[in-house]
Amino acid sequence: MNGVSVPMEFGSLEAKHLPGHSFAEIRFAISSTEAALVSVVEMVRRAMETLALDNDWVARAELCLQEALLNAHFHGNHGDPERTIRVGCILSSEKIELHVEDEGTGYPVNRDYSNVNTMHPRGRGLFLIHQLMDSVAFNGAGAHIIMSLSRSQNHGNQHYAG
Amino acid sequence: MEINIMQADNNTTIALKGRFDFQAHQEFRRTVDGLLRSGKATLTVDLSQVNFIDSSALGLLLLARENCEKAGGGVILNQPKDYVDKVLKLCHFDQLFQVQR
Repeated sequence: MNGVSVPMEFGSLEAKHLPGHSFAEIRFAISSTEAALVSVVEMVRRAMETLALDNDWVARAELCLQEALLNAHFHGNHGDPERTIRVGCILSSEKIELHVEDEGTGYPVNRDYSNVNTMHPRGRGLFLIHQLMDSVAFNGAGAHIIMSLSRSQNHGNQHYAG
Repeated sequence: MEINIMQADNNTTIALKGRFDFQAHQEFRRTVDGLLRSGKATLTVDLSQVNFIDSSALGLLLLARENCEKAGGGVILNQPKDYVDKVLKLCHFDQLFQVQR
């Protein structure tokens, strides 16, 4: 397995790639800024496209990663560039797993995000995440969200998948 | 994201191109507010060249709808492409807005 660790303008990146296989593991630690989160979403999308992952998965994962990063930046870290957002991605044709962790006090983990009034200004991002990902979990106090898509899941999101 | 305003007869269209997300917040609001101030209360938002939409953009559409309705008009969504259209449907925006497909 090839591994690489590189400093970035907004933080650092570690990546592993198994040559000959559609698999990559990427970790970012970025300062909590809009520019950094835009860069992370762009890099992860390019990685998924390079791995030739399913277009529907790429679209779902890109949107959900952006929504989780926006929540981490604006709500978890209150837009403080001194704070850090940690991102972990496992990307393969069998499974996509996305981790986003901020330095805040966490999501209200007991709320039912699958049944949100989408006209309400809060919760729309988490509603989309719950609709588009196969599984969503929170770690610890809730400042770490884990989202995944898996081939073994019977996708219930046919409305989105068309 | 690119924003272009097109005027034909009494129809005002805001044509968007690219990613419609949180980064478009100020420019989109400024555009809608400017049109409302000039008396254009019924706006068509052309989404045919939008390839990504996030929850912030959905919020911007709701705000535009609210402000246009207060001024006696409304917002029409025009030709959302596959991916964008699916997100709109998922959030029931096809029930909140007139969507031209």
